[in-house]
Amino acid sequence: MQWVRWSVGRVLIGLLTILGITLVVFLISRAVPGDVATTLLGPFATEEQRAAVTERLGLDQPVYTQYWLWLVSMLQGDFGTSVASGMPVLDELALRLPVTALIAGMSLVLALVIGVPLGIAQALHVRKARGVTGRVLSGFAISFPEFALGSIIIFIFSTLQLGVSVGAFTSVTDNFWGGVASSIIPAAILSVFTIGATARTTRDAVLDVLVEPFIQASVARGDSPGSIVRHHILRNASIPVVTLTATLTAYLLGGAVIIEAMFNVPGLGSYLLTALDRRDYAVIQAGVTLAAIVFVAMSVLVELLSSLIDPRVSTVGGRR
Amino acid sequence: MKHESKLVLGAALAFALALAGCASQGGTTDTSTGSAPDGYLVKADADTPSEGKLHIQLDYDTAELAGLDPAGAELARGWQITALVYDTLVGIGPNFEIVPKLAESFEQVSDTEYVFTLRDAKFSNGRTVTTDDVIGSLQRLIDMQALWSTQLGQIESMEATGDNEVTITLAAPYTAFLSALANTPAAIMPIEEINAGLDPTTEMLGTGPFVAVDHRQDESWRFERNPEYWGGDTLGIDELEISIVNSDQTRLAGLRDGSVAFTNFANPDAMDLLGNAANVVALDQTQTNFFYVFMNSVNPESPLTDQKLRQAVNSALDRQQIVDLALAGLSTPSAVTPANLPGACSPDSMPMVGGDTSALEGQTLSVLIYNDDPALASIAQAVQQQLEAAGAAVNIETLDYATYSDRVYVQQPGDFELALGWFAGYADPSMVTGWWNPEQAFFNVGFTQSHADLNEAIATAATLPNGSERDEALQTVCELVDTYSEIVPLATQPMVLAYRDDIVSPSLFTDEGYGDFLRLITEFRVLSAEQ
Repeated sequence: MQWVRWSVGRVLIGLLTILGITLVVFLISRAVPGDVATTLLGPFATEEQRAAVTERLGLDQPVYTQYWLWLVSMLQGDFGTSVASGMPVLDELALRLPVTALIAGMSLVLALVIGVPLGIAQALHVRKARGVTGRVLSGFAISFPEFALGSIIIFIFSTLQLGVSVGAFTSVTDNFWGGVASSIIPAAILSVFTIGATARTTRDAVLDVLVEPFIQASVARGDSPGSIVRHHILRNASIPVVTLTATLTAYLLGGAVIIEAMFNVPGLGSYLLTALDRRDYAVIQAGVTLAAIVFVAMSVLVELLSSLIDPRVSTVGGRR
Repeated sequence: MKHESKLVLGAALAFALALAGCASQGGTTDTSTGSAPDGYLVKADADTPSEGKLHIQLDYDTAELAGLDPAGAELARGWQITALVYDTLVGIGPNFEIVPKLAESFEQVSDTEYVFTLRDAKFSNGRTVTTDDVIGSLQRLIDMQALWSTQLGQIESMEATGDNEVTITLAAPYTAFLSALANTPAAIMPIEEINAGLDPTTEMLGTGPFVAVDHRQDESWRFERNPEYWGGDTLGIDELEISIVNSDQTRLAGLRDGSVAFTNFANPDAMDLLGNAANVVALDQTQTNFFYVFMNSVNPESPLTDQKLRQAVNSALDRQQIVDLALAGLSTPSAVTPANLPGACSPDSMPMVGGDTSALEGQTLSVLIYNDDPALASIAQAVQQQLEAAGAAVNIETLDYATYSDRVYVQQPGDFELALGWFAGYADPSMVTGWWNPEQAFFNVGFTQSHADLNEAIATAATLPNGSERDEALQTVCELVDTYSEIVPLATQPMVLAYRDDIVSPSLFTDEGYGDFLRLITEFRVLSAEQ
């Protein structure tokens, strides 16, 4: 029962966090210089034309009124209309979310499938050549800038005609398999960082667990190395990895702007960036709110998962 | 987040440029145009079959508050995209002459009277264009009070003087009238359907070569051949797909790997970057658009309220050096009248050339630019060096366009000292000289003063017919602008156009007034379906 109360509390805190983020995003978007009337009407618009647009978009009302109206509409499922396209923002996001989600998903799978075993191997062979090599490689992967790697890949593939087009991206919403093929290279580039980070985190977590008394006891009992890894190390080392996975998911969904721009991926990141340029408030607010919901949801999920993996997480003051 | 992203994207581009620079060593540059006719960079091979699908990429999409309504389009990309669907009465030919379009003929019967004879053309829904559509479209444009409404001059009357004939009478002579009619905002709209409820901001119905079948904002357009197009067999494309690709690097890659047939680059360095790419031809189309520097003479906190200091800045600017250093030598120094328009003033003949720059000694100035245009940063650096050579300290402030716009155009007075940007140059000198009269232009009241002599000279030049008398009047305008030194022209804007010569045979003019490098899209021929 205490775990349920604790979980409900976490969810409520998450909802409050999202509400706070919507307020902050709203205020910041209104505080930055420039407005949508100026950017879309262009420099030659008269003051009267700008005023008319401002009034039509409701931007002449007090900020708290604007915020309240937006919040109420959003809770009713209406995230507003993009001024640039004239389309409902939710429809626009729905077109772009699958594109970003596919790339993020592919990158995350690569991170877990390659990064976790790599991290375990590094920890188990910490003083051996392969452990050191793995550590160097994962350090290199974390440090190598995505834009540099992306530039190299684009140059190589476009110049050497390797059979994969990097000059024209196909959206998964238009052509599923074409979209999957187009997503491979961007996902692979994004995964370089995520693999490195996952391997490094896994290695550190496993090293922490390896010095625990229950590992020594298991070794003393004569358990096989495979059994020790499966039954003792993986479970206890998984909390930091799960936490990192949640962070990486949020990063990949909202933060892969550079790769999206480089490969002309019509995803969430590039969409938000363009909206920010135009001060397309409805898009900015909806996009950031969506990202916040994903991030907060992932954080809450991680906390709940962590409490299931290690019940001590959900204890208060050290007692359940 | 945005600023950092821009920085990283800039770093990415710089990295790509470095890579491409490595690759171009030892390569050959193919920028030849063969034997194109006068006024053309390249002329399409008319013997090629008129069919096929063409995939091109553009660097950004149109985004206008007026949506897809050409009459409300204020920026060149909006004109270009809507021109694929809509037609104007007249068009622009090579060397900026006015050519028939939806009007099969036209005649200027007096200083103020023009007669247009319509061709037998239909909208894409099959309805024949009438004189009511012509008169209604232009009246609608005037009533909208949009940017282009002012470019039409003072229309006194419009009447149908025959089944296919419209006579337009101006209140006063206005030499740029036909040039203004030749741009897409003056497109002939389906007035009957609009009156019946069609919303042109969301639905496109025109007489042009294509019908729009799909549009995803900032992502793509898809057009199909308009079966009712009056040009009929002259149209060489069945389907036109336009991808919006912001990244120069990706468009370069698309050309190299053949996934795109044609694209454009505002970055003049693209010409070199494509030097050794197989089957890629890169050409520079000279735009009448030109770069300028604003000097804030209105804000009391700006040191540039002092005309002597403004003139010193003007005198310290070496336009040819800016062209060579910042624009890869692809453009031309320009005065107020864009250098490639007939009868343009010579920037070398301006009063401030070689003038006194001593007022710059010990001054500290800031230059505002925005980060969307790669050429502006290079020009700002050249300007910085030139002013510093004259004794001033110069800071460059880079902003996103919305913030730049707010500080330059919206705040009254403008919150800046020097600012760089560019104007559309249009197809007649009088269409752009109006921007030097703040009472007419509006956008510059926050940083330029109104001068009666300059305003009068601008108005006079606009009414004179083309010829030596008008050239002299325009020279007076140029000299006054140079003397007041508030909006100082620098150089024309280059536009690198690149295509795969194994996929497409395009037609391109050498010069362009409305930023529409797809003006001759009907002449393009598809050579290979593999894209």
